[in-house]
Amino acid sequence: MKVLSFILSIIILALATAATYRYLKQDWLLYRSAEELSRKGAWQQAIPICDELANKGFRTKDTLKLLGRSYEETGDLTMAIDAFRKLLAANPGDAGVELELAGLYDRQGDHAGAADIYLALLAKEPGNRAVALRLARALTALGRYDEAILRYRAILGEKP
Amino acid sequence: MNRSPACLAATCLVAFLVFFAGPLGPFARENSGRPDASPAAGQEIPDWMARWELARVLSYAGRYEESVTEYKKLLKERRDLSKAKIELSKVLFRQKKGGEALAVLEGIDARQLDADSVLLMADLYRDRKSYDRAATLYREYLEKRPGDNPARLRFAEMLSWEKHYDESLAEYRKILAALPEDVQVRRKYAMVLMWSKKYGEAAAELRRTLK
Repeated sequence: MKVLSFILSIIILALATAATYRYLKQDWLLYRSAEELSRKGAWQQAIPICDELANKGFRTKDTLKLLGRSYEETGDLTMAIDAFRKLLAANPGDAGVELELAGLYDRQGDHAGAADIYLALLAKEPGNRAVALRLARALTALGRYDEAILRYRAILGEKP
Repeated sequence: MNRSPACLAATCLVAFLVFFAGPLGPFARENSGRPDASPAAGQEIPDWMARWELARVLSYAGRYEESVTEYKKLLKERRDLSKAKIELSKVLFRQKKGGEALAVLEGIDARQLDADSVLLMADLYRDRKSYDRAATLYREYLEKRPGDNPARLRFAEMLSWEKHYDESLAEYRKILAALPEDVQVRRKYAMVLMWSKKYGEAAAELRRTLK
């Protein structure tokens, strides 16, 4: 009898725990499903999940990043920029996020916005050739050729 | 007290589940999808790539001499860049150095030439009176871009200079089919008709340009 009640207690507790987990960790499960969708390339389906999670404030950094990338992959650059802006507001000074945001500005044709970010990044890390090159490209796209030429020469370690 | 083993087992189970499924668990990942973009990513930008872009920007800025210098430095390092050679030839052409531009184009495998380069080569051969070579290239180009009437006109003119009147007239007719109201083209067409001794047709065409 004792053994039977012990086994029954274990089964009941296991079921109760699983049910409680699903109830209490709903957001985690949703986040994982959004991640899974993004891995499968189902970006459009990941968006509403990430959006809902971001609005709830769940794991803001990762959720916003996933939301931004989902929008980016579906070609909605405006919404992607919006998500990355929120992400940057939540993580000020995150160079990786700033770079992603600048890349999105470039893709949207807002090269001035991108150039501002690249300049700020270069002020923090003057020797970063990757950022310097992106800045030179943004300046070229803006028709600011002389400035771009100076940047390219600096990248090549040449005097202007 | 006889419930204590059940309680202990339950506590262990809950702890196990929380650990493995929670954010601290081994299955929790901080990031999803692509790796983080970082400003350090792509730090290893080869100089030749930066130099190529510099050469292009210098040409956009109209600083052709400097652009040519950069293209030459680039091609010294990377002889395989046919596209850079094509760009260099275009800069040389803009500098009115047609001979040098042609020499660069001639050094490129013909299969690597894009339509614009083929046309540039055709024009350069035409300027140097290498009409046979130019004709081959014009034909190749116009096959790819039959709607380029200015190029077709240059080809038609060249054919008439070589006294290939019938071929020239055929090209003019194609242009006039596309641009029937173009008075200048029609007058040139009429001139070729006259040179080929088709005076009646020439007069009719000229009359059309005077209405």
